[in-house]
Amino acid sequence: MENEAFDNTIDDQTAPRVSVPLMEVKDVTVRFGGITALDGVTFDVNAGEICGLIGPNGAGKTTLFNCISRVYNCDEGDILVLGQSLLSKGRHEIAKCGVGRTFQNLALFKTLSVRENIMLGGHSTISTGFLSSALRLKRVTEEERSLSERADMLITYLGLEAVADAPVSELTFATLKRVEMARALAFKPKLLLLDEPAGGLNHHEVDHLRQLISDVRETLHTTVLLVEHHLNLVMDVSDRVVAIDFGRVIADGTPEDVRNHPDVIRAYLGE
Amino acid sequence: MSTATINPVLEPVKAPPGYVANRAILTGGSRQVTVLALIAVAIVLPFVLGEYRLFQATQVLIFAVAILGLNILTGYNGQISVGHSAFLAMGAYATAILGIEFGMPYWLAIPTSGLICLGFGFLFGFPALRLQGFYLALATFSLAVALPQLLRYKGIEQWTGGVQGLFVDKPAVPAGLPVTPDQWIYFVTLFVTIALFWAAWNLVRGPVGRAVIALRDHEVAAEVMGIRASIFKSLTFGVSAMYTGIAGSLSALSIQFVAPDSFHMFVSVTLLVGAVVGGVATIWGAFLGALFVVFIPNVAEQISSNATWAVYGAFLLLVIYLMPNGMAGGLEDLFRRLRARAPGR
Ligand SMILES: Nc1ncnc2c1ncn2[C@@H]1O[C@H](COP(=O)(O)OP(=O)(O)OP(=O)(O)O)[C@@H](O)[C@H]1O
Ligand SMILES: [Mg+2]
Repeated sequence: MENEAFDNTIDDQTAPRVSVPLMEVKDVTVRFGGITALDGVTFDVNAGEICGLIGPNGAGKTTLFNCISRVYNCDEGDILVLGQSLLSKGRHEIAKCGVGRTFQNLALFKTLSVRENIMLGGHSTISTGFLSSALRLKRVTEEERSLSERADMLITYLGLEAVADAPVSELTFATLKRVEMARALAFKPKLLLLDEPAGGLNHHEVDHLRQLISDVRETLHTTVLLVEHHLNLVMDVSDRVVAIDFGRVIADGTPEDVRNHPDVIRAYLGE
Repeated sequence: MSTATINPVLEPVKAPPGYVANRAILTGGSRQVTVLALIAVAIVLPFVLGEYRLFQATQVLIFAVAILGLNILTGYNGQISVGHSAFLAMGAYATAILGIEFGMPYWLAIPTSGLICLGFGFLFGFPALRLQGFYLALATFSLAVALPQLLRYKGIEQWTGGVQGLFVDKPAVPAGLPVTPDQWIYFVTLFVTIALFWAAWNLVRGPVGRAVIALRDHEVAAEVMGIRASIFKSLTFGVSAMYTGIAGSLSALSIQFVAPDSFHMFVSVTLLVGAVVGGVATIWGAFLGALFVVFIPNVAEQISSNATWAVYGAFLLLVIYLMPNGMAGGLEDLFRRLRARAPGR
């Protein structure tokens, strides 16, 4: 597994976590016709942290994820990862910049198996083209082997062995959420965007997810930006929490501060 | 840092009830044996078949390649083309013109025609990317209806032969080989078919095939995973056109004649029929589809010479009704059922 292409260490992980902004969201504004989904959103995500992003339905959380992964265009503002603007990149270059994501409503490749979905997640790390693949050159088989080793590791990690070769169309929502996470981890992202990973999980499963998210940071050295409606989960697992409402940042601080922030309470209680 | 120490945190997922892990009917060794046996049969075939049957066998191989080309695009990548007869025509005319005007030997004209179609397909695929579903189908349709007429156009008659078409020399049998010219063109076709099926098999079960299917299943997610949709889909279009173009090239060599009327729009529909009846997004389904489109019209004619197409249509409905996953899917189901019943299982 000691593969150059997969090495995502960005700094010495044994050193105390220093607050280097891994991602800077600067004044991001997005409009859909009349509505302003994001309105000057600004915050940083530091390397090595788990950052929660909360807000009521329609606050703009998924829209922000879509901007970061270049699914939507920003009308104003900029998004930098390690000082590099993502907005000058194409959607297909986001993984190369170290950003992986899951989708709120699942966006799996329904006719591919679990293992194939995960291997596809590592597509950005390979260099195979049509010709080399058609001729099955040695390089292709080597790359395939390293993708499949990584997939096997993630399949074990996420407890997916029993369904590894099943087409994803046959599996339950909760299982598919895991597959999405495995797929996003396949290329060793520096930054993992999780959009409501607890959706569809029961109480017991949420507890496991809480451990998993911490573990992803500790053992896979991945910074996490977590969107979740399950507030207890977010507050427990995050180092920092950003709250947005109607596309604006209303609070940014420790879980404790954000939980008690009057604007957050107001947004959630819907005054 | 090492990822070797990773321990699972989540409880393992249980397999859904009734779930069968490995569904492949032929795996590893038995698949190789089957393929080699089929190739052996294909090599013996020209020595036992009569002239007309041999011609039909060559046509089956040619259709198999053309259908495989369409299947790569429509089956695996989900881009619907009802205009692949245009690439068949391009490959055929390219081979004829390269031979007549430039004296290019057939063995060089086949890959060259393929590359020409690859280029055309790529260039056509690039703007066509903006088109989805029905609109892409219409764009390809327009290509297929326009091309035969363009080939008849007076201004380029000196190249294309206009309405008359062009005669093509039959590939000469290499000196010393004890085969007839008909057997030789069959062997050339067989060789090209095996090479192209092998390459397609490598493609679809490797990273490229995965990406091609991923783009069909969820384009946005595929892009976020690092696949450049525009280039990838155009290349898929190009490769598809190349396969069908090479089939066109082989058909020009085996029929020794190209004319605009051989590439009527209806041929595109025939290819689509072959792809669907054989089995969408399967490799060997292309071969089954080819058997269907070559032999069923004959069978239908024998059943009723007045209502040939009605009988053909009935056959088509029968296959669609009985084998919703095409003949490849139907045969696999049958095989699985037989094996489940076999003793010792
Ligand atoms: N493609 C789109 N076209 C038009 N409006 C959109 C689009 N995507 C999002 N919106 C709007 O932008 C706003 C923010 O939506 P978004 O999905 O980002 O919210 P969210 O915070 O993820 O909510 P939830 O918690 O329900 O997932 C909503 O008003 C939504 O209707
Ligand atoms: Mg959302």
